[in-house]
Amino acid sequence: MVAPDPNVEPQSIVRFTGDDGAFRRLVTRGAFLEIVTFGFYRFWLVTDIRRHLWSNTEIDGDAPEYTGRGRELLLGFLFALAVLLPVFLLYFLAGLWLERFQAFASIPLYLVLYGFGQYATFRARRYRLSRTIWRGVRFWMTGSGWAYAWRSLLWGLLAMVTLGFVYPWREAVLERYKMDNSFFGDLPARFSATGAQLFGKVWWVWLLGLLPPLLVYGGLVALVVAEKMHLPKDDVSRVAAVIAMAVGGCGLVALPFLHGVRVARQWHWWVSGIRIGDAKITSKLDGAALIGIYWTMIGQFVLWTLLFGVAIGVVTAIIGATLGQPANLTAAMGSLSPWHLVPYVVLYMALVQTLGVVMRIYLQQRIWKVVVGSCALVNVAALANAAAAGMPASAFGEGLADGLDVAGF
Amino acid sequence: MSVAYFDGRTSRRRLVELRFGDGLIIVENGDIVADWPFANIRRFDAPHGILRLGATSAAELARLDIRAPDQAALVLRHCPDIAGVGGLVPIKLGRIIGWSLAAAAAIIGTIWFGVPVVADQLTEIIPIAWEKPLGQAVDGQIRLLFGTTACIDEAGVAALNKLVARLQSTANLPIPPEPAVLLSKIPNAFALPGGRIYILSNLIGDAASPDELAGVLAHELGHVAHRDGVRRLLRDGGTGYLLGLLFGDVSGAGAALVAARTLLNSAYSLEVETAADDFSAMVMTRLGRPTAALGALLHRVAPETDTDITLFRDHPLTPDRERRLAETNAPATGPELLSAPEWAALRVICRDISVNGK
Repeated sequence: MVAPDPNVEPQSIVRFTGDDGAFRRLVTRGAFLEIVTFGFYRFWLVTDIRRHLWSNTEIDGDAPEYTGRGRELLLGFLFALAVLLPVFLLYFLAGLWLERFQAFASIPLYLVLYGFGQYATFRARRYRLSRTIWRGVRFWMTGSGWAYAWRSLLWGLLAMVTLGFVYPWREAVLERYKMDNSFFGDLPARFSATGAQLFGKVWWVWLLGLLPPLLVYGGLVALVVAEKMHLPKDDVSRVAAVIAMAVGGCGLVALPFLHGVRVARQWHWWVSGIRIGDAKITSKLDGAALIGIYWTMIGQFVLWTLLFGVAIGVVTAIIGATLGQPANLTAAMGSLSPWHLVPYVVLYMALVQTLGVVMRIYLQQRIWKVVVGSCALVNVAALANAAAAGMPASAFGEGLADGLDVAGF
Repeated sequence: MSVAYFDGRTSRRRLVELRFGDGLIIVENGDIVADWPFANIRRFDAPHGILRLGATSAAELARLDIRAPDQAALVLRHCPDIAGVGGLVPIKLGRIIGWSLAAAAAIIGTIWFGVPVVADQLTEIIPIAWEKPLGQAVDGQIRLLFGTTACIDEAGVAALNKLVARLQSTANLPIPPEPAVLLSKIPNAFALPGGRIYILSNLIGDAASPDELAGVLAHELGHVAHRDGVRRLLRDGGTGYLLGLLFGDVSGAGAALVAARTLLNSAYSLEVETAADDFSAMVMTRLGRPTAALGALLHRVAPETDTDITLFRDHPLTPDRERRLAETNAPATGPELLSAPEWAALRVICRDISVNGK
């Protein structure tokens, strides 16, 4: 895209040096340990994942380092639980109080929890950034989690009212707040990309993505109306509706493509917006670069689900054989004991953990690899003499995000 | 091969040489810039092929990146405490697993043994007056969903109130019950905290006599008397919060947790429902009415057999309940609970719609 130009600023290489097999082994072992530890291992697993991704990302020849530890995440989680207990109680009592005036009046209270989740998202970013070290200097963040939560809440409501139209501007506002409060040592960062730019990159993807579901739904509605009006079976409107549904149904296959394009274009927008001091990042991420990743993941999902389906069939056949020949289905169900559920529970857990491993590989490591590989650092000299500053932030936000089941980035 | 040194004070990348003395001596352009005692040197995360070091005596983030394999091996041989405190202390996996299992056992034990006891104790402590707002919160939603104008025929309501009053006279309730009928095809009845009792219209349609309906009402009064609504709320809240500690965001575990909760709740419900049946039998016996009438209605509404899956059931099996209710059954000695005209009025309490819907 960019022709070699002597006037262009010097670019430094950014690349991912990690090994796919090493990451796969890391997350597979982690998934197993998660089951063994009733999930408590998750704090150490996410730490190891980040350590792997950070330390295998080379920026101008030097890899950053993730200095967070699993123990910190565990403590943050426990602390967050202690804080969330009274919050949940107050939430419940406030709900009771509101319901006295009007049925379902407590539903907007959900916004309070959403706000908490956004606060947690901001604080989680702060934790991660402040554990990121490059060339002996810490990244860190200021800013207020509550100020962020307010922005997110108001823009979120606006996005809801406008059916998602203002989503690009919301993304830009939130990212700007986070990035404008970020630092590399004493160098301030900022976010220069705008909502309009994101809108320009993805509007047609959204519109195309809306088409297949609209066709299917519209066809369905038309069929129901035709039925109500007792139109003849071969009426043109019925035929048109069926064709619309068929086209829409085939169009659903396009959704993973569109999603891949949307994510790639948004990554490109995000990365290109980052400024640290006078340094910036350029990306030659292609819109089609992530499509293969999504389809491989879907293929793996199908494959594993089929394999586990076969395993469930085998287990059922074995149980059936041990039960002999019951008179009918009801009798067969009656002779089952709770112990017969155990192999199914084990298989189910194994399947969801396997799918979890697949998701971590493709949605985290592979996308990271492709995005990082597309980047280059422009004017790295601006980063050459940053003075150390900033302190590590607490893991409270990460714990809160965990307790509220929100994923932060 | 070059060694990169970052002093932890600025991001300047300095190319240095290494010398070995009492410690690792870092030399830049012939000048000694740092001297790290070997015992203080720790290893940190780096890409494959790079040895990254820091020192507990240097700036916290000072780093040395050594790329030449033989040089890295040589340095490592000198450092006795490369994975010591202050560096990448290896995770003690056995300890994590051990503590996780202990924590999980403590959480599950608390759910199984602790939560019911605490819920019972709290139910005793919570003033009965607080039940009202609890019930009202749900009540508003139920009224909005079902509508409340369908089943308010005057004579029918009077008959219902009379029936409940008769039962209440011997039930010794902590709070006066407020019965009401909701229009629904499902034959069921339920009690809310605070004494509100709802009978779904089809249940009245299915009842063959006032005694059968009275048995159900007395069962619901049992829930009111035992304050099961509040107890259940406390129990579910406590169980949900504690179960949430396990697994966290581990994908798919949510479904397993829901199943575990359902199992726990159903185990609990069996006791509660049996106690309410016993309460019904007690009230009916005091009024000199047959206790088995409730069983007969159950048999008609939910004719289950022993062969159904019993795992996720939240009510005892109908045959078991019938058997238990039959044990206390005796021929009627007291007066009829409702007169024939009153019973007839109750059966058409829902305006314009015959309650049995058939």
